[in-house]
Amino acid sequence: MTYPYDGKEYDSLFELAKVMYRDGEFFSRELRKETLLAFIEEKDPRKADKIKRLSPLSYPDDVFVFLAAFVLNPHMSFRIGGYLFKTYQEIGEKMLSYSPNINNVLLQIVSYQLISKHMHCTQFDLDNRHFFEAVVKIERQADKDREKAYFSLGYLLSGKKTIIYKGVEYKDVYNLTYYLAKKEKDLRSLGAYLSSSPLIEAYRDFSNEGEEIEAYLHVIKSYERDRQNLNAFLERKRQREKERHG
Amino acid sequence: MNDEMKFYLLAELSGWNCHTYVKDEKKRIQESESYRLLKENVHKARRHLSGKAREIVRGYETLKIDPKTVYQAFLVENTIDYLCLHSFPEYYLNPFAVDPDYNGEISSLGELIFECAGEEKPLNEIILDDNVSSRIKKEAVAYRLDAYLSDMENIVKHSIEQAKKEAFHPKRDTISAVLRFCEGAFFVLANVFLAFIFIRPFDIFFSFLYRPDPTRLMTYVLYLYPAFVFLYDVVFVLFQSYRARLRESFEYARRFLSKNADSVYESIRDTKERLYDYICGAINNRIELAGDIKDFSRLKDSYIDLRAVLLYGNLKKRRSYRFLRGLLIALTTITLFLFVFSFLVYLLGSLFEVAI
Amino acid sequence: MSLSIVTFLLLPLFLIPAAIVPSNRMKVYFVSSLLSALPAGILLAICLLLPDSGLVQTLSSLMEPSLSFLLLPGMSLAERQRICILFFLLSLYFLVYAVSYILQKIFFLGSNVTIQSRPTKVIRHVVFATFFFLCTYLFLVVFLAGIRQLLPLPDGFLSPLFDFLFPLEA
Repeated sequence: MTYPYDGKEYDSLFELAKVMYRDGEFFSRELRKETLLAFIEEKDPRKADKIKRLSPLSYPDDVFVFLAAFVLNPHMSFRIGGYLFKTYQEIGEKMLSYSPNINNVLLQIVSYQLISKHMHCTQFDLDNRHFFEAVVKIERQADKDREKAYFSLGYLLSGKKTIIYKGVEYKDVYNLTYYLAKKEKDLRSLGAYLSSSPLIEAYRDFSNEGEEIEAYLHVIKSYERDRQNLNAFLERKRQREKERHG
Repeated sequence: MNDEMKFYLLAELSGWNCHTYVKDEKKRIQESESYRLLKENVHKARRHLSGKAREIVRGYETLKIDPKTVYQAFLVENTIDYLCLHSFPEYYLNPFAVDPDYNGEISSLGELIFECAGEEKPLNEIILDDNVSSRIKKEAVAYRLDAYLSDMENIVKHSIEQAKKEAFHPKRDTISAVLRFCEGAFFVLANVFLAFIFIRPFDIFFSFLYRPDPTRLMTYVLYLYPAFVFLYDVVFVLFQSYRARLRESFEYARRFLSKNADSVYESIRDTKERLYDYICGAINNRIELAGDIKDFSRLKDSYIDLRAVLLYGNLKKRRSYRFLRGLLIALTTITLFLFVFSFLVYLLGSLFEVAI
Repeated sequence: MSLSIVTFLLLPLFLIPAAIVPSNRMKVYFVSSLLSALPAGILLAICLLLPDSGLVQTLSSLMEPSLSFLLLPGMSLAERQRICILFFLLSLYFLVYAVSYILQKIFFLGSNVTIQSRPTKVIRHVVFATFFFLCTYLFLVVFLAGIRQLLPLPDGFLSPLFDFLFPLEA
């Protein structure tokens, strides 16, 4: 039995797994249909069974296809949502290349802990224990702050110590702010973004300017917290006065 | 602080020189609402004895609003926001140290701010909050009451130290103690001398009493000296009596504290237990507290007036006190001069048996 | 200016403290003045009622050497004795007053002035002030009446009172 896709007939699960990442939506549907499942069942019933157990869990399409593809071929390189990465470094660089924005497909890598799963499947974790644990730690942080975890993972995997902003790589914050001040007209929005940016927070943890960034974030957080507390208190006081006199 | 300054803060911390952007910050901060509120609140907070109130006043007095960098501007404004928030009586009032004559905006313990489950809110809101268990609420209350108790014990300790300072006069007050002694000694001396010159038989001297001669100094000794001593005596007695009246609360507190400090501390601890039971009762029954802000004050009661001890220095600033003191000093000076003059005239007259 | 006027001029020096001084302090003054006035008063009464007693002789011989410069040559023995006794009583008065005042300063606590004055407290204060006034001012008047011979002032309108207390020999 063979499985036809994109003008080609696939009779190997390994080969089919390598191309499934190209069309997550399509394969997500196919993996729940008889045709493909029967093909997989014929080649390897245990793998078909694993995929059947995956399908009721409400994973997004790309994630489901990624996981299913790894059931079929646990030794291939990292592939998801149209992206193929030969190394983890490439994943990191790709994640950071969109900064300050976040790529939703790559965000799923963080949310569903796909890197650590891949590392475990490929037995990368056995020879790179510390690196693997660092990845796991960041993935766990995604529960509290997904966006920061995204950039942290990007920095960890890429090994970069620079800031990438709208496709331009800056050596340090000094250069970033210098060129932004020249290029950008709306420094207010920029200030608002940078003061609460997950990118800056992640950069703090991996750059050589950790202390300066930490001082910046600490002052901003403290300032905003106290300002918020004061405003909330004054608002509550005003309401109480209104109730008392009204 | 607007968001643009947040950008410049990052730039400055990375190495930029951003002092040009801070030029107008001083004026802006001084005209800000939080600074205005802080100034108003500090004025009221000065009258309170709680440690928190004194901390806020100290924080305000040591505030320097002259930022030279963006970082300093942020720190200053942050400090002002923090001080402003904590300068409201909801934050600094200590139920054990509420002035019995307090008549401010807080009327109930329920308006005081407590921290519960990581959030600061008024006690009444905590009492009525269904999302937090009673156990956590009571723990929060116990924690806060311990802080109030510790603050109150410091107030008592400070009162004792203040009272001892006044009683035993530290080095700085040795001069005023010596002056006070000299004042009393002079009062006695001037009157004894006056009595002496009128009792000791000295006919030449007494002759000027019946036939005053303006060309003889003894005439002035006989008329001026008694007149000024009399005035001086009246003002001296008046001042000392008035001072005794003003000092009495302080004096009583000092005597009491030196003998009975333990009972004061015990009384405060008992009050803390009563207050804890009172609030727990409200928590158990979900009852809002009202009109009870002064019910647990230990500042002035059957034991002692700690306020009198701690605010003793303010008594000397009263206008009437200062007027009497000034008048006494003037009369003392004149009488002292007349005493020396009279003493010399009388001595010379007695020694040489002549009319001077 | 007469001794009577001087006596009246001295009134404020005792009335002012009686009126102004707080209750705890007044208690101290009252106790001190009472303790001083009692022995002085008793001794004075003994001396006046029993002028020939050994006490009069003893006290006057005790004081006479130090007061000889005050005593006028024309004074009779009784007058000299009276003046010596009065000065002795004055010294005794001041001594007892000073000792009792110092002891009370150390041991006396008093009552809490912050508790609102009840009527009994007010009445007690008035009584103490009155006794203080009597034990100090009256004693001073008696003393001045007794030594008036030494003073270069006429008796004035209180002369009958002074003569009643201490008649002068012609």
